[in-house]
Amino acid sequence: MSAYLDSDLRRHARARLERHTAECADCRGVLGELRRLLALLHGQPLSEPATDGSAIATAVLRRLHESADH
Amino acid sequence: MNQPTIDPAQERALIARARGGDEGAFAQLVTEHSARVYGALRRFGLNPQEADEVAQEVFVRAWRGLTRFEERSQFSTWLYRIAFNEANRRLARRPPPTPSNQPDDEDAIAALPAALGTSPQAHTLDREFGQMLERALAELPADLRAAVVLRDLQGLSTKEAAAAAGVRQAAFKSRLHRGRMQLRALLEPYLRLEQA
Repeated sequence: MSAYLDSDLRRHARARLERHTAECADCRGVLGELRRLLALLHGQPLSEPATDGSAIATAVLRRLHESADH
Repeated sequence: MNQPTIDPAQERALIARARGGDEGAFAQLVTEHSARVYGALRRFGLNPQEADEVAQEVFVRAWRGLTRFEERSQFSTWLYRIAFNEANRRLARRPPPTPSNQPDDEDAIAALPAALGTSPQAHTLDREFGQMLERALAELPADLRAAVVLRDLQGLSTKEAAAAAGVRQAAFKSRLHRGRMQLRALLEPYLRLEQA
């Protein structure tokens, strides 16, 4: 089902899954929930807004200098 | 969503300068990628302090290993690979959970239907989903969690995500499916409410 939702199934396998879910309410329900789950996941922000990239860069450079001094 | 602020050509130029010892160029690369790396580390299961420390370690290792970076893969994929390894290393160092250090809200997923019943507004559900997702991800085994994080939250392609996790694509797809199915089961009450 994951491969189907990722458009990663060959046509034959895709058609077989579609035939099955048309007849099987349980699998149709699972597929629908997976589809909703992926839509929600893909809509999530990528990271916390509090992340300060320049602060991490400063800390990284400080560490590089510290290790170079030893 | 953190969109790239430099284009691929600019990034290649910065990498070349950084390889030559230009710290300013490397600092630009860190600033460009740190939010994505930090976000992935948090979602791999590290707390904010751990994620901050490990993000620094990821970039220190990247600096030291820049000469080994082969530009067949994207720089971001290479960083995710280092982040994945470093997160696993940090998680392995944690003491095993005991009753005294279990989080208080460990049954939050089980309590989901009641929580949702008190918040009918869609935007409230969206906010709650983020919190529920964080808790549900924490319940997944590390390899399955990483698959979902890399592919579905960080937005890597299957090929890139498999490379970052250090496994073949077929194995990665299996992990991804199992991770999604476990997450679906944990969040089922929410997903059913969405459907309704």
